[in-house]
Amino acid sequence: MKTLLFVDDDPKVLQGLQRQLRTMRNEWNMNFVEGGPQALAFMARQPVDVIVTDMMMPGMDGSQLLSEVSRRHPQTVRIVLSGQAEREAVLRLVGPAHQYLSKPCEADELRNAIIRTFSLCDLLGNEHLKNLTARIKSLPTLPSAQTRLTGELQKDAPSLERISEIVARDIGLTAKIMQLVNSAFFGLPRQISDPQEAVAYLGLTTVRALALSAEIFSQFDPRLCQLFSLDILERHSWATGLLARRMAHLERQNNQMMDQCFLAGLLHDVGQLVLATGLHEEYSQVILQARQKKQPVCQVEQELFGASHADVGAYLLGLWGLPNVIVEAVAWHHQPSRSVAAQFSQVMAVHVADVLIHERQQVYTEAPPPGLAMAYLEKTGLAGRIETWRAASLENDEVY
Amino acid sequence: MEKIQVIDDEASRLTLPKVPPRQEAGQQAATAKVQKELIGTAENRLWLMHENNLLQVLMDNLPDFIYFKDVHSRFTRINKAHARHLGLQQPEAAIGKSDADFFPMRLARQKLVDEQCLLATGKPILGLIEKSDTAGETKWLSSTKVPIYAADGKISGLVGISRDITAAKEAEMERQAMEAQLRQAQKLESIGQLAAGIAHEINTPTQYVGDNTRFVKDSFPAIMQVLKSHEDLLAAVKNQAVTPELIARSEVLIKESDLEYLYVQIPTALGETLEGVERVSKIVRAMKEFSHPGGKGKSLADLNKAIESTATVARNEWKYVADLKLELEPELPLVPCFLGEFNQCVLNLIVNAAHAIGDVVKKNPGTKGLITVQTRRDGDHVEVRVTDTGTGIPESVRPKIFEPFFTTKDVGQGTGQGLTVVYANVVKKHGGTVTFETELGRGTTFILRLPLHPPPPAKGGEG
Ligand SMILES: Nc1ncnc2c1ncn2[C@@H]1O[C@H](COP(=O)(O)OP(=O)(O)OP(=O)(O)O)[C@@H](O)[C@H]1O
Ligand SMILES: [Fe+2]
Ligand SMILES: [Fe+2]
Ligand SMILES: [Mg+2]
Repeated sequence: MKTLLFVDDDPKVLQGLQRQLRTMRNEWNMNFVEGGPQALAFMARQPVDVIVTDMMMPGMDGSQLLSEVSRRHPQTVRIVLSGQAEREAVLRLVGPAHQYLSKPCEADELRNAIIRTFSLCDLLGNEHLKNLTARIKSLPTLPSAQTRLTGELQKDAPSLERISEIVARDIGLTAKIMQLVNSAFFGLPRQISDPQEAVAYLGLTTVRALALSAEIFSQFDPRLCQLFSLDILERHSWATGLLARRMAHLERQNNQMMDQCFLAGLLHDVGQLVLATGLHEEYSQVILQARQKKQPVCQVEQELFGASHADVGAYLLGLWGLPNVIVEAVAWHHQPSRSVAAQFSQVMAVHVADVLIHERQQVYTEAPPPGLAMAYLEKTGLAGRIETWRAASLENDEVY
Repeated sequence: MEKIQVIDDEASRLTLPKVPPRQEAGQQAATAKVQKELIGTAENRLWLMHENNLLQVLMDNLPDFIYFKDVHSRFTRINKAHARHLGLQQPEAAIGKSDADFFPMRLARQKLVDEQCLLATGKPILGLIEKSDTAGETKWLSSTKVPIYAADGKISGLVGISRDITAAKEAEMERQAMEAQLRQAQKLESIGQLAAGIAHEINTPTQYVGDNTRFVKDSFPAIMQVLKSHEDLLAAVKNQAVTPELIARSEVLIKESDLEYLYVQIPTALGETLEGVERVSKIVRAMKEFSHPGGKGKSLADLNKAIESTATVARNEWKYVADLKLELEPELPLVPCFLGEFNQCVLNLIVNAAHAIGDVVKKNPGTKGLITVQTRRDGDHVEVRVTDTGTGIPESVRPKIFEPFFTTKDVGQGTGQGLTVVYANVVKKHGGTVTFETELGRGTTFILRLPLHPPPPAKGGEG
């Protein structure tokens, strides 16, 4: 049984939640406490899978509590359920919370968010990797992206377009911005996958506050995992995103699909970044073995960790509340046949684009991914499109 | 309206040498006649030339406007400066004309009324602030006009001198506009800050009102099933047709429907829902009272009620660091005041108190401070005291706290306008006083005193 802990300084809110979620009592072990210190005491006695906390509380507020929880119990999924209306408040949570829900929150919305995180937990089998991923507050960025972003923001009239482009070229920034803009806090009527739209929604003030917060800009230290190059990963990801979008365009998909293909392509290997920053030497080991034995990286990862960067990446993005289609496309980008989709899908676009970009990209140090899932392509009747897509991958040299 | 001071003492009267009674002929003719009679002897002539010279020099070189008028308020002589203001090349061109020839109708009539009053009563006009529009320009003038007495003791006209105070007046108006703007800006800012707090205050009960209502709704089908099965059972009992199956069915339904839990929870859920709805409507009511439009004039206000609403509206600002105690004198008389402004003052003081307590609480996590708001009548005044158990105000800071933009807080926490606005509202708008008592490490009390019978607003002041 999964254990849940709800924290709110108002006992009436807790009672309401308790009554409303009573139907889940046979599946969930639900606990309710009235403050941060009580929550920490509870967690010291008993592991908790998901903590749902209010933000404003006397003594220890929600962001302090969650920071402490992420330090002491990194595997616990951290969700905020707050009635706060200020944007600044949510910025304080960008680090410590995985997801934000707004009061008043429909019971279904809360229930679904919790169910979703539970199914995510099952996705990634390795507890150690789970801890590692759940502890991540932000992903490292390249110093050049940081310089360019702060430079643009300091101008008298910063251009939203240039800022979006800087964001979109950076895996870590994009993932963070998507986490924010898709959180219930902003209450947008639909999920957003286009970085430019996301930046426009958040607005310059919020983006600036984000850019200035040290939580967001951790720098990548190349010495820690020497065989890994963030620069190359960024370029590979950007190229994959562009090609996935181009493919969607060639298949006459709508704008939303094109945006999702791009975002999933951009983020498909985010798990590698998590592993390289979290496991340094072990990950160097993975890369080394992959090169020496000419094995796909994901295969070595699976062998050594019992999970691949695709699992880790999907777990992270799921925790951060990114749209499900993105999480799925990332999870299965090496095994598209696990998807139930019987026609062109985000999973397929990312899978094919990834392989095609690897074909093109000589400099990339990762051993190539497993080849195209031809059986799946045949099954969906899209195998015949491969040459068209490959030609598209050759069109634009500038991006590689 | 402008302030008019009236002084009338014999000594300050201006008397001209003997003048014969005014004749019916035109004013020019009359003037010529006066002059002829005056220029009698050579001695006189010399003396007069000398005097006239002096007068001419004085008139032509003073930047102030100088003008003489007859009993019909027609110009008999003006100086160069005034001619320029009236748009004339030569001063002589004004002679025989009146204000109506130069100024808009309303203005000219106002001047005429003022001057006719002066000519009738002999009461001089001193330092009257006049707006003076001519085709080309708008000027603000400070005018002094005094009657001229003929030798027979009758008033024969007036002499006026007007000083151009446009620059000073504009600076003053600008300052007033700025002050109003400051007040407005602070109001907006605190409304913005409050709005976020109020949203939070409303979102919380809304959460559990929703949860509880849905809970009752979701439980009802199960309850209904139990009731239905008991109806069946009852019917069976009446017909003496009870079967073991019927009993078993009822028992199963009772077990499945979690009745024990529902018996306890449904009444509490409904009670808490009602309480939540009441909490929301209390906030909404308080908001309405707080944002009192504060019409043009003062109205008699129940300060206790105003303080209660303001404290409710501001609850999110203090509740995490302090408790708030209201000690309001039940018999407090109504106080003539601008309610909107008064609420603003109380809000600013409560927010300051919460901040000062917040600083203490930060150093001693887990503790809470206390804010006390008291009202009482003290003779002709009503006193409002806002006391906190915060940091107290350091001595070096005390003299500066009412200065505009003086703050010791971080950017985003304070802009240093709170107390400036309190001071302006209480002292300038209500004729009250603001004082404070403070002790480092113990706390601070701000004391507002509002007069119950403020003197009627001085006639004049701003337009
Ligand atoms: N109750 C109090 N206890 C301690 N210090 C106070 C108290 N009230 C005011 N002060 C001091 O006086 C200063 C000026 O107060 P004022 O309300 O004018 O501005 P502010 O609170 O800093 O900003 P604002 O009210 O515009 O948000 C404060 O910065 C603080 O140092
Ligand atoms: Fe990959
Ligand atoms: Fe890849
Ligand atoms: Mg203040």
